[in-house]
Amino acid sequence: MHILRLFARDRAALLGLIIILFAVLLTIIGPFIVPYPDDAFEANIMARLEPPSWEHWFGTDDFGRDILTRVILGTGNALGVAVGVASAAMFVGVPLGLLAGYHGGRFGEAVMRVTDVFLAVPSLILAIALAQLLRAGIGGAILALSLTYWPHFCRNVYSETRSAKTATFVEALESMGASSSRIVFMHILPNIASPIIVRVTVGLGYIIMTAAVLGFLGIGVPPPTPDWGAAIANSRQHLPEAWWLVSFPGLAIFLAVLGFNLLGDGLRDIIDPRLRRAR
Amino acid sequence: MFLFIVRRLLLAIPALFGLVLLTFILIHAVPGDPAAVLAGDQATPQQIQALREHYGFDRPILEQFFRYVSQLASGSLGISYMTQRQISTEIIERMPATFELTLFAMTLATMIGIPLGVISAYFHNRWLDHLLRIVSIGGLAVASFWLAIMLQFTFSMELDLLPVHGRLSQGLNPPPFVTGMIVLDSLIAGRFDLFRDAFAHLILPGFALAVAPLATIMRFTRAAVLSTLRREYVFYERAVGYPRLVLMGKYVLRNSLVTPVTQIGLLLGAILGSAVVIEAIFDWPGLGSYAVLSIATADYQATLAVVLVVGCVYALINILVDLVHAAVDPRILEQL
Amino acid sequence: MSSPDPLLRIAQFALAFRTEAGLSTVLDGVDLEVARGEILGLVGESGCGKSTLVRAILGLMPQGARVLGGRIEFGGQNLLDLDEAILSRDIRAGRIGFIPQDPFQSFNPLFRVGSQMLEIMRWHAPPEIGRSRSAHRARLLELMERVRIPAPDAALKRFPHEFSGGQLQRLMITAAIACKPDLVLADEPTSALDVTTQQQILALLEELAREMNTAVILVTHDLGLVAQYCDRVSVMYAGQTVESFPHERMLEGVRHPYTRMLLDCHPDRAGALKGILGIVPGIARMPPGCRFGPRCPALLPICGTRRPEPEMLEAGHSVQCWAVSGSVVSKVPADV
Repeated sequence: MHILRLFARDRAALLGLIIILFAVLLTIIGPFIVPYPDDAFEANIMARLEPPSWEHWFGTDDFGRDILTRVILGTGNALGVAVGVASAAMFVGVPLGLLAGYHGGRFGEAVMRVTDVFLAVPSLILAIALAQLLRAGIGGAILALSLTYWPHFCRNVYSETRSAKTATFVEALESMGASSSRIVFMHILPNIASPIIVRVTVGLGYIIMTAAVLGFLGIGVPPPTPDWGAAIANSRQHLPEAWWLVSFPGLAIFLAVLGFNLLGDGLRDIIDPRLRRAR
Repeated sequence: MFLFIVRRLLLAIPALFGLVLLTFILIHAVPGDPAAVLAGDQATPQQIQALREHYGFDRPILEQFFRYVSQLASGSLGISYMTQRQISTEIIERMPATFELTLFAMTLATMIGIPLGVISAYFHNRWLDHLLRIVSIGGLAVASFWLAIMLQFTFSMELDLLPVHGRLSQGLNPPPFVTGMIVLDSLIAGRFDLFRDAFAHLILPGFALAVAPLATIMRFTRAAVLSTLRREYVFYERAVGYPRLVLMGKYVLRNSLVTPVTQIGLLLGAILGSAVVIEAIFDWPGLGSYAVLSIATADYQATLAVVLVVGCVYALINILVDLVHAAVDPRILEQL
Repeated sequence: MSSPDPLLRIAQFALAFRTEAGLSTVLDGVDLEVARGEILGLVGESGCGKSTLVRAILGLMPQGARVLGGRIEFGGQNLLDLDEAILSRDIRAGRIGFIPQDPFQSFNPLFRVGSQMLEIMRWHAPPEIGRSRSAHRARLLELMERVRIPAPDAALKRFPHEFSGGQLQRLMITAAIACKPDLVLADEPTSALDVTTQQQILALLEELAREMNTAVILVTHDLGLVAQYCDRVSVMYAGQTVESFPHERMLEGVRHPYTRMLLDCHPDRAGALKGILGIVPGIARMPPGCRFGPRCPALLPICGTRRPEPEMLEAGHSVQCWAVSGSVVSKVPADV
């Protein structure tokens, strides 16, 4: 397809895609290929704080657990949380945004006011406060993040719907007597899907980052589940000697966010000029 | 212009009211007895009862809400169960430190980010542009707390070039209070030794905080400059013989900065968020580390108070940004 | 050619653009002359290269454009030999003025119109007007009275969006002639205006041009306007000049088949509306030789192989057409 060819020309986007696919791969087969599967949960005090070696490529942490294993398993955790959050946020945000954008009026205003409230505080602070209040383990973290990010999706969908609504074909459908939900879900939604996909991709990067911060502060997924942010938090007390404790989880976060950012940018570059030409 | 300010202020009120409502709902959304939760794990039954009366948790919901709002209006944010002090006092004590850090980070980000964005646009698609774009995408992907720790590790622990934490070295007393920002106050008081020490302490946390906004500003400025260069009026200005330096330095620059300026509000919000973690890492005695402390000690009142305060500050910042935007672009006022 | 010492002479100027399909010759051997104080109409269909030519005179060719040959002589100098810095300093505004098509897009929306016009004067005002800002202001105010801008003093402090299209174009005229240039390039100055305003603006331009003995190249696709205001006319088709003739020749006496068909198309002529069969070829698919060939009723075999050379029929009237040239004997049918 034409799109794929355009995409292939953008090397940065390709790199992003490769990174993400690699991460997905790790998520799926990770548990089967990690060198020390037990280290997900068990400690091995004899081997604590060993620097990188042939047995332990990334070294071991303060519980003697193999860091490579935990970083790989943490990938699945991070992606899982991110996808969960994005799905929940979109589940609420997209329909609300569509309906609010299409109907406008009091309902639209009301929805916008509600999102305004959530957006009145910087996202990270809201996420932290919510995570603290809702701390019920992994569910709490996902809920907190979903509550933090749904307004962003909602507003994006709202503004896209508003501008899509001005297209002539919508007027035509309305005059033909199509029901509003039909118009919204079967006609407007497909049209705005592309820019929404771009935002979701970049949004996944942000979610991973925020989830890492929550993990760092100790209000993310509870231990001993491998978490990149929590690993970095644990590493602090052993610096500067055990540099491997902090470097590898941090690199993992960097690569994951980078992957989504590059992919999102590449998608945006393809989609925007195409859309402009099509319209 | 005056009308614009008034309108803008009025627009902010519903959002803030909603925020108060939100925090109120959050207090009640937590499972269990709200008074016990707010009082904290270590509270005595007397303390819990006192809190219950203070907030009126045994009264009808609407009355509780009125109480809550009126307490906020009178400036009371509750009492921290850890320190047993007024939270509002503690917050006010800590705000200057956060201001100093965030202002420094923002200044650093703009002073480096904007020129780099302009350069990137000017060398559009040449190697320098590609390099800078890689830098900016990388900058956005780096976790600020990770960067903070790495910087601490490298510059303080290994190289021993900069202090590890705090605002001033042990044994030094801060200068007389003028703005609360030690760097400024020491300059005002003429104490250059204090200034050097305070500045050295500011560098690492400030830089860690500045990287993400810097990257964003670079990207926005680059896009804005490229967009401006395509405009018809730039062509006309060339056609009527504006000297190149004047054209680029005065006109293109001014036109290009409109969008980035409007983004500054959002960026400051993001910086406030990141500051939470950075302050904790560097033991910087500001609002952020206060928030982290309240999380660690399950001091919910303090956390909610921070949320409210930051929300207000953020709203204020956005109003200011809108004002600046209106001042820079005369067409905005016309749209009213 | 037509006059012994023309102000501007373009000889066999050829310009190519780099496109996806390789190098496309956008202007293919253009010949043009303008005498001092003369108003020349440059007509042709959209896309025939008139705007490109006018911009090339000022050295404002787009990125990726290459000059393939020819000369643009202005006051004896070949403008193509001058680099950007010299063009900007010595030629633009001071000696060749420019009036753009869309004044709304061409004025910078963030700056007051007064300051934009003063900027031009600052760099290009001739010595007799003076060097001080107040002298420049005085000159602008004087001109603004002439072009009938109400309350010129207040107008200088306004922003572009506060004016109507007609007023903005008057300001453009002011800016173009303020520095007493020898030549003004008007690139479809009235296309964006309604019909009544069109007449006002062009009448004004003509009046001022006569008064100051300034030559004007009026680029337009509207033959009616050309008939009203121009001393001479040059016709272009697909990047080639096909005929240049004095105003008197307009109703009868044009010889090139394209010119004749253009005139026949004009609704003012009695009879049914006529068109010219076919369309202008795309930039990458230009036919060799005379580009009008495929659509021309007087097509000869030689037309597809060589470009016709310019031939002087009489003073001020030159044609580029094999069918009309004296060297090839044939007759162009009277009604085509």
